[in-house]
Amino acid sequence: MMIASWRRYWFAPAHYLDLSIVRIVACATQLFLVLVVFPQYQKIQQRALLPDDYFDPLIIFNAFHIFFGWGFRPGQEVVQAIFFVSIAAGVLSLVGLLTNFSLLLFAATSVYLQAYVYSFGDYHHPEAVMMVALSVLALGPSGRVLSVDASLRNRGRAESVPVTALQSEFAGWPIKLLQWFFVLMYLSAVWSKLSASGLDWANGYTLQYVLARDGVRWGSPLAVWLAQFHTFILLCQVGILLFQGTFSLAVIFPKLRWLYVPAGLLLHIGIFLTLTAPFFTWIALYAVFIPWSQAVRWIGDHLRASGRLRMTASQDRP
Amino acid sequence: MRQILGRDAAFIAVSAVIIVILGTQLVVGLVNPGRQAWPMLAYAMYKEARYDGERLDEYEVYAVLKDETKLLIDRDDLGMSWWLFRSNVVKPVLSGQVERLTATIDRYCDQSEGALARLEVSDAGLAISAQGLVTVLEPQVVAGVNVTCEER
Repeated sequence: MMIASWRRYWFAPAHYLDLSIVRIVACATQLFLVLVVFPQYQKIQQRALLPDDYFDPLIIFNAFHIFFGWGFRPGQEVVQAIFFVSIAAGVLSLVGLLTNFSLLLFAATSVYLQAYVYSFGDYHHPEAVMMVALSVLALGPSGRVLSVDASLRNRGRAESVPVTALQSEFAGWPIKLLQWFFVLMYLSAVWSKLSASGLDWANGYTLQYVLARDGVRWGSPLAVWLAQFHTFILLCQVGILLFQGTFSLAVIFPKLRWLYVPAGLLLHIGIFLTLTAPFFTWIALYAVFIPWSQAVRWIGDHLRASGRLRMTASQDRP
Repeated sequence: MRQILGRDAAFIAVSAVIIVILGTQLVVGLVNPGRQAWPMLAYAMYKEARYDGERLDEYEVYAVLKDETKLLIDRDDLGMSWWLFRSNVVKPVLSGQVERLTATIDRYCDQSEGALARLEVSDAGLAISAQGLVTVLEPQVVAGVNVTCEER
């Protein structure tokens, strides 16, 4: 009974298109971030110059070098070479050539490089969900449509099935897993606040403090300006607790995504504009909440209907 | 995965992946073991409640010499980003972890020709109130570690 329900939920037939669009969004975002927004190559060079005293490798980084001994520090040239392999794998994943292998390589090298950057004391939160996303996408049929693989597979075939019609019982689980991963991240956030501070967290001063401090620290006049509105900030804090604490509703009741997805995007864009905390990966991976195949079908139907309407109108013309 | 394993084995393998990833994130998210669990993390940013009049934890670090001369330690001189500087210099001084300051102390002992006596962290003299940022306070020394260059 439980196994049947499990299968019904995680392995219900789902559209390949949804998964492929998430693959494209995830790969494009990761490539754009490491090449343009936060150039990872420069970070690698900067870390390589730091003395060994500062090198404190993460467990996952040590796991990559298990045969070289715990605490092994690779040379700069090795890490730089892995960076170029990662970019090549990312491009192949994006276009969908040898998709699963490319994605697996892209996920592994992205985890390796980010873990290297975080093996010198500091670490941040935005990248983790992208590492998980690339990994699970590598294990699903992410290149069955919208890929070079699909073009090669369909070469020479007379009839073609529309991509919005293609489904598989293995196409839905990576998206559902990432949706629940978001729920758990928000749950962790709200749990951390309430367990550390109780409901006192939403006293208004907490967010005023963060806005003022980060505004001064990162040179954000908008944050410092906002920090003066105590009552408004207090209401925002209550809203944040409600949003994070109830985000699971957006997964359980898909219609509520019309409320939660815009609210979440507003929250993360707002955090970036004020606190300059760049959760671009989260914003991009909100793609897992959008029913792309439905949207494409709806747009297609709409365009066909308006085309018919135009044709009828022109036939009626004297 | 289905093509490699066959349908039933693929169901089992994928189910195991789902349980391991979501189970690990659930536990890590609630227990918060820190950075070592990356990429599974607790999202405990900004978790402490703050109160009216609280001073901002915006810090600067000084190398204090034996004659009480204070030299501002510039993170650019150490080749560090803001975050690396915070993790490897500011936090160890705040928590008195001298062993994590070896490279910094060596550098400033050399630079001061053995005259370094202390590393100090001062705040920026800023606080929060219901009306917003308070900027009229004097900076305060919030932590320091004594240093002996001769032993190096």
